[in-house]
Amino acid sequence: MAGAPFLKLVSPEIHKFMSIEMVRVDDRLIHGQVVAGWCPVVLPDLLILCDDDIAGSDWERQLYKDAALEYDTSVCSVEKTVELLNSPELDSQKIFIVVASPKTVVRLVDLGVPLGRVVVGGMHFQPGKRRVTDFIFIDDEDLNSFSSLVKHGVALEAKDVPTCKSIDLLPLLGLK
Amino acid sequence: MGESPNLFALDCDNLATPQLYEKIAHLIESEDLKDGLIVLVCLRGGTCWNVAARIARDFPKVVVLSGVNLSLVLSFVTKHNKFTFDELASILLEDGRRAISQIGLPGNS
Repeated sequence: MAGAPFLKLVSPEIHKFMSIEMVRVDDRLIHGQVVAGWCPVVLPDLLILCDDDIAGSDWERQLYKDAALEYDTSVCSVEKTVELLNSPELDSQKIFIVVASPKTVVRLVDLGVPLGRVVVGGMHFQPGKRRVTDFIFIDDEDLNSFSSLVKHGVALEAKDVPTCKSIDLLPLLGLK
Repeated sequence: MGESPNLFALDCDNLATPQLYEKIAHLIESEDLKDGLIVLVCLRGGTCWNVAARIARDFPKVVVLSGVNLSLVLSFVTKHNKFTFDELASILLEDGRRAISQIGLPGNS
């Protein structure tokens, strides 16, 4: 699980152009843990915040680009993200994708992005959600999304910061 | 420095972002902060900063300063009743920035 690549090598066209270094589910999207914790480890050439709602608001887009500090950042809808991932613009670039929920990852996979692994870093408590780990709370919709990703062969791990031990999510979700 | 009646500390640990937003909004409404609110947060881009930015968007006379350091806080305590709200934010920012320095190694005068 921990060794699975983020991008499955089934699509030579995509692999030729860029490398998806990290796909992270984090409902706070771009914040301290991502910028100060993960970016210095992943060293992305491009950080993509993939979210239809955020991409649809100029104010939200600018806020998250400011939050990313020195890291080049695009805030895109799911469709635009897929377009970007398929384009020669990202030639030789290391990409870090952040999404707010697993259902967005399902949409990326359904639109043909061959993801091999997803790191779940933060799904904070909301009413109606149940605890999986200290930093992951889910509802049935989330579970269905994770289940769908597993069926597509996507490995799931929980890890909030780079120095923490990876946790295999499948047994915690009841999917193993 | 003693207690400062115009300084409020909010702990954002373990609060979901909507709860943190409500906590600040409640403070604005209950303390009658019509003269203005300066929100000091530690990390630009952090969750507190994100929530404070939304407060600044939604309420009048709210400014967010990030990267807060001790100098900036002390400046607030000593200067808050000597300047207007607009002046104070700029002064605190400058005082905070001026406090970041280096002694030793090449490049230091």
